[in-house]
Amino acid sequence: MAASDDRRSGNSAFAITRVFKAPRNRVWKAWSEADQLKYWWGPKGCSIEIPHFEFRLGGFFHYAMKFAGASTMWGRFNYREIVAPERIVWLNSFSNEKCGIARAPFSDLCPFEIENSVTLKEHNGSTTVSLRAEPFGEVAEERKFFDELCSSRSLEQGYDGTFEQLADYLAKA
Amino acid sequence: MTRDSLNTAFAALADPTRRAILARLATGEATVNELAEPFDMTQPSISKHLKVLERAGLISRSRAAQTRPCRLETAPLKEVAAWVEVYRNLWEQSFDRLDAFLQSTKRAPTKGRKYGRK
Repeated sequence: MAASDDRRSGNSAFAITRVFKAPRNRVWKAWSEADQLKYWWGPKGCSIEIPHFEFRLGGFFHYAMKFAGASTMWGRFNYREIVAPERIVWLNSFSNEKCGIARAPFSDLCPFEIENSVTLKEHNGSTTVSLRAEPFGEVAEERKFFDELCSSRSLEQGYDGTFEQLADYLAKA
Repeated sequence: MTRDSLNTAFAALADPTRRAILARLATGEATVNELAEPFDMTQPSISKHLKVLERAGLISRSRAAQTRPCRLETAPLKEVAAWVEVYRNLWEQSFDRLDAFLQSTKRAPTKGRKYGRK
């Protein structure tokens, strides 16, 4: 398998890095075209329908996630920064069928909006994709504190040392 | 935990002293005096912060000992941070799918039958 994940967290809620065996322009296409996004975005086993797609600053990618035997979940990307072919920043949230923002259908405690940023770097014909995600909005700082306190995976990697003891404690609690 | 109690917890965390108190309590129980010391604050003002944290459900205070030591309550922390795991799984699965998609379209460079259109 070509892919490998890097779980280092930095100071975002989490970050994932993976290397894809494809040139950057090819990977960029997969992120910037509706006809490509629909084949890979979303959890395993879901199929994506895209009523609206506008890949530009301020534009929306509005999608329906359909699962066999379960009700449809709607979501949206709102693009905040696009630098072809290397960087995209967007807010991700659940939505209704009209692209209006909505709370997560399964939990009241999920952040309303999550800011994602992804960078694409090419090396020897492969593309390294680095994604960071963190809560966005007025209580984002407090939210991040919670996440950092509990992000045992990043703590395992020696998260600045600040929360190491806390991680030990949470592991035992 | 409900949205209301979450907001109460966030409001409690908006203060840097209270965040530092929580980080300190992660190393173990502490009395008000022990908590006041590193923060260079009077005992009453620490007590005020502790009340806010207690009301938010982030700490509890023992009634057994006269010093009433404080301890961190981990359940709300864990519940609120659960979204990170959900979101991480979503991305890991999407990256798996992206990897498969890129590999399959590589083998069929003319737009790809399987993945071409609807």
